[in-house]
Parts: sequence; structure tokens; C-alpha cells
Amino acid sequence: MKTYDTLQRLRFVLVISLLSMTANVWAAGTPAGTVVLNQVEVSYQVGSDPEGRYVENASHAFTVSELIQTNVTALEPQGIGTATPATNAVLSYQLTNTGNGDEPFLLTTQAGLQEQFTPTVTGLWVESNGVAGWQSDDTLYLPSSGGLPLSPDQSEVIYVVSDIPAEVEDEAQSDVALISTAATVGANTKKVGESLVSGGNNGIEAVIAQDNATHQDSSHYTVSTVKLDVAKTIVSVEDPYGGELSMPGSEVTYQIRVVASGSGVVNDFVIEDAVPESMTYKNNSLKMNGNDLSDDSDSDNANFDYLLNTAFFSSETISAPSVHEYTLTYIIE
Amino acid sequence: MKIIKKIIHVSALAAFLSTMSVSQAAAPPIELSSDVQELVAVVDANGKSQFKAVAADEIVPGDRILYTTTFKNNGDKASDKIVISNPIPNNTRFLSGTATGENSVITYSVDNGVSWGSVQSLKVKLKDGTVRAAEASDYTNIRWEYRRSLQPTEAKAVSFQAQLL
Repeated sequence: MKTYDTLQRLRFVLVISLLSMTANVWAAGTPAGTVVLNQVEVSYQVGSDPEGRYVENASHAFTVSELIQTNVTALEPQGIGTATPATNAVLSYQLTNTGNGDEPFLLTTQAGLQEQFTPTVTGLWVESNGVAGWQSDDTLYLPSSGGLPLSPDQSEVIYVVSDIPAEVEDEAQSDVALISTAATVGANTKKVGESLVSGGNNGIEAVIAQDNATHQDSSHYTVSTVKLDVAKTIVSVEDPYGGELSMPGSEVTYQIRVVASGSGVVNDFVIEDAVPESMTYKNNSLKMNGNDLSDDSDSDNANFDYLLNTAFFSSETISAPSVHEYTLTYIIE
Repeated sequence: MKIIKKIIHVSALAAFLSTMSVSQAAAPPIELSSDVQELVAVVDANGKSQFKAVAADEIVPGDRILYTTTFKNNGDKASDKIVISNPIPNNTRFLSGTATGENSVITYSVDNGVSWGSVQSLKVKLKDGTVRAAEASDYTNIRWEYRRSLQPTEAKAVSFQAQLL
């Protein structure tokens, strides 16, 4: 059984990998109910008399139907670590109305596949207090509410909060799907492309874009004593002229974010970051959680080795749950 | 947005048609009508995908629309110098290369009909003052100049396709 807290030394060799959140750009398009008018004009002459010039018009209009469509995206597709037992283990999802009309969406979950342990989902919560992550003053989703109403293109972050049973085997995994279904009556019985004659906003035609007017995405809980997630991103670029362009002389500041989840302790943690090609290290730019660190090999658990051309951050122990942010700056040659 | 394969309903097209003559009180010699249909992708027996025109009763964003204008001479004399002008409908964009019209010279406008030109000649002036070739999505109007006489009882049609935004 491999657990991080039994490893004598854990070393991460990081290369520049920009983790960019893939932002789904959903454009709902022309709102349901919009009248699209076509107007055409013809002018002509009868016989040889230029005075006999006629102008006539014709027009035709149709009303845009409602497209019922939703999208669920797990915000931690790689899953999260959890202890066993645990309470309030949180998975995050983004729910978006990708249709072109106002629509409430019913939310359900499916937790634990066959032969997996089964988390107990204690509640679905809607992010509402403006503070990232689930807090108890976010809004609890009530199944009896008739669904979460969303305007076209509107998104909400949904938290699935679960309790994890005791004595689950280490590294066991349990998938959790968040399922969104349009609340319009009859929509959940339709296949993609079918329609509801008056199921749209204000009684217009509604077209179903997904089988059973539903969409889902999954993430998972993984039981581990400690789970480490490490991400390296660029947090700023400052060019020599006060701008933000990448050019020779520009200073690029990277952040290495370490999230320790679950519970337990990681021993002898070391991050090793080699200077990228065509860049040089900016002296005295090492920081941890915003605090300056020296380049020397001393007691502040960070140093820059000019022979190896590599920066080191270290810690004798990292206790989970915790978050550690390291930054350093390189200069483009 | 992807085009969704529609379940096709055969139903009467709910259209309204209005014609008027601004120069003559009597019934105008040419009868003009505008029609709209949705083009849905269907797969034929050979597995080949093609578009089929159906009633425009459930159009949603991303759908392909076929506009057809028919002009018929109900008079007892030939009509000449026929020009049909059609602004691109609101909330749609013209689809490149879809305008058709037998014996017609087709031109486009990018300034709501102030000036006209061919696909090759039209330019668009950008905010920074530079000029680039116009794209189909820049078109604001289409114009057909019918180069024949339309004889009594004769009817012709022109068409174009657009996509609902």
C-alpha cells in the first residue's frame, strides 16, 4: 500500500506547464421568441415607358423557437482526495444554460458505481456568498423548488457535499455524477431533435437538444491519507516598457500551487524547478505564501542553485489539508 | 452552435404576405412573394449527408435558413429591368456562396444598400482606418438584377441562405 506519508522523500521536478482553465464559451444565440423578419422589394418597368416603374414589397416572419439545452462540467475532473471517514467532502461543478430561453433545471446526483464505495450526498449547494468554495452560508438546493432557474448563458457553481464512510480501503475511488434535467413538463421524455409544441417560453415551440433534456458530468472521490495536487501557472509578465508583453527582458513570474487534501502528513517535500530554456533566474525572487525567501541554502527552506541552474523549495512536513503557494521570477533572454 | 437533426413536421407554412404598389392603384403586374424554410441535414440511403428544406416552424440558433423570393408576371405585357433587393434579415448572417438567381447579376452591400459590389470588389473599412476584403458575414443586403424580360404568366425565383445567430 502506497501512501504519501510513508515516502521518505517526495520530489517533484516541474517543467513549465501552463494550466489554463478551459473556459467553455457558450453563446446561447438569438433569444427564444425573437421575431425574424425578411423584407424584400422588387422594382421593374412595364413596356418601354420609364414612367411606368413599379415598386412592390413582400415580407415573411418567423418566431425563434426555444432550444432547451444545458451543460454540466466538473471543475475538478481529476477528482479530490478524502479521508475515511470524512464529512463535508466537496466536489464542484459548473452548470450552464446553453439554450436560448429561460429554463429551470432539476439537479440530482448519482454517487458510487457498482463495486465502489458509496458516499452519502448530504446536499447540493449553489455558490451564492461570493467566496470561492463551499461554505455553509451558500444556498442549499431544494429538490422541491421546481429546479434552479437560469437565463440563457447563465452559469452557477454547484457543490456536491458528501460524507465518506469509515474504513474504506486506501486509494478506493467513487464516481459522483451531477445530473441536470430541464424542468419543462415533458422535456425529460424527449429525444434529441424532438420538440414540445408549446413547451417554450410564453408558449412557443421548444426544441430538445439532448436526449431526455439532460446532461451530466462526473468527478470522483479518492480515499487517501494525503493527496497532493501541484499546478504551475504564470501570474504576471512585465516587459521593460511597463507593459505585459513577452519579449527579451520581460520578467515572467510563475506560481507553483500545492494543494494537500485528505488528512495526514507529507515528509521531506521538495519542489525542484529548472530554469526554462532561453530564460535566466531573477535574483532574490523566491517567495512562499507572499513572504520573501533568500537564494542561499539556509534555514528558510528555499534556495537557487547557480550550478544546477535550478530553484528549490522544500519543507520537512506538509500537513493536509493545506495550500502552499510558491512564486519565482525568470527573465526572458 | 451545432445543427440539430430535426424531427420533421409536415405542416402548413405560416406565412404572411403583403404586396403593394406605390406607383399604381390597380393590381400590380408582378406578384411578389417571400418564403422561408429550414434546411436540415439528413442522411440519404447511400449514407451521404445533405440538406432538406422543411417548414420553418422550429428554428433555433445555429439553424440554416433558406429564403426564396418568387416573382410572377400577372400582367398582359412583359416587365423589364427587374431589380430585387433583400436586406439580410435581423439576427441572421448570410452564408457565403448561397445566393442563386437565373439570368441575374447578383451584387451585395455592406452599408445597408448605399453602395453595391461583387464578392471580389467589396471592402470593409475597420475602426483603425485599414481596409480589408468583405466577408459574407459583413453583407447587409443582396440585390438581383434580372437581365431578361419577364413575359406574361412567367414566374421566376431567387434565393439565398442564412444562419440564425
